[in-house]
Amino acid sequence: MVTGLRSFDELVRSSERRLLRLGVMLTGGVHSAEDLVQTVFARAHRRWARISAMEHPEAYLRTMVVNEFLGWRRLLKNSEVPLAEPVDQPSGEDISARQAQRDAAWRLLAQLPRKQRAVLVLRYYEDLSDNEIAEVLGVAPVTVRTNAARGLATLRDSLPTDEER
Amino acid sequence: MTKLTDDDLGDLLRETFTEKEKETLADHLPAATRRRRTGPVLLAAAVVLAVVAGVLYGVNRVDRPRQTTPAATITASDDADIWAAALTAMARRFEPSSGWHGLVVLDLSDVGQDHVRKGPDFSTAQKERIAATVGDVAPVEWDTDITSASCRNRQAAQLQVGDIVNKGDHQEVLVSISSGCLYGYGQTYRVEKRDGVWVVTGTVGPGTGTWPALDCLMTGKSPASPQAGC
Repeated sequence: MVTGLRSFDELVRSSERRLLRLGVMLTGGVHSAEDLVQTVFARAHRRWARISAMEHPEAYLRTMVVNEFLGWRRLLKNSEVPLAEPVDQPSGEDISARQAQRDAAWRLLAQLPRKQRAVLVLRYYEDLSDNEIAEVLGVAPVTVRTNAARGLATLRDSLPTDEER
Repeated sequence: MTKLTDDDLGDLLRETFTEKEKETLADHLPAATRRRRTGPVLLAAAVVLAVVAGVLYGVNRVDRPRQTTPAATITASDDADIWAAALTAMARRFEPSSGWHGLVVLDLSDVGQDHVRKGPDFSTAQKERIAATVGDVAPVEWDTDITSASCRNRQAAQLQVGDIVNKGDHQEVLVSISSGCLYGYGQTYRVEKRDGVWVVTGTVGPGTGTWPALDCLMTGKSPASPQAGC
């Protein structure tokens, strides 16, 4: 039936696009992001009575998206399809060095362990503090910092430097 | 060799995310996200008419869509809005003077003889979008069983939609409606996006079906009994 439908619909409308963007950053693809967000909306609908009573249901949905991403990818671990092309060197001379660096960073992100990627997305895309990220992930802040450091180290070691370009 | 600092990497990641956001989701989802539709589309409008006879009330066929380039990207949300516009038009068209007590939208995406839509299930988000619009006519329920929905409530209408057919500058979608056991009708609607909103702008071809009390309903009269007609 339609009990509470309007409110749920409003939440979907107001948060769908933002969650899809977050989903793209986490999964690396729009199709995967759509699947991720729709799965979360389906779960949220089933728990709507509880979620609707929350002070910040949008934040809870964000947490659901991140945790769904972590669990969802875990389930698909053995059959996971690479979400981006392997890192290669920029070839077009017309591509700026910075653009090449961004492209390489995007591809490297797809190869990071899921939790490291999630931490970097939440820190640098969602602009959350490490304490806030810890709340979202349900881990200690030190774990957030460890994952961030490892993710950044991987990027640092793999990204072409000015001298290498 | 100069390695990037954490701050450098943070700046790079912010730029990367911003760029990807613009690329993929700045306004619409990209064309690649459009739901794929394969092969010729046969849309058969069918609703069970009689408990005893189980007569298929109507069939409508939409020709193979022309090979045209989509005029604009269409997202899953657009699909929902297109279906919602067509469903609303059909529900309004046959709305009794006392109004519908409820609208049961059948989610029959599997391939079945009486199912007009062959695509994947409605997503939850799509259902919510559809219900939000069609709910202006009457409360919306969802059902997946055409048999249970066909005759159980004479004061409610059962509705189905077909797959959306892209015609380039507009979309076409079949809607069928039934009420009680003897009312059934199918019509293809032309839907266009105007000022950012999907609206029904016409019908395509003749409607088909059996609607014993069609004339009186079309003139705004309510039948004394759905099965007896006017």
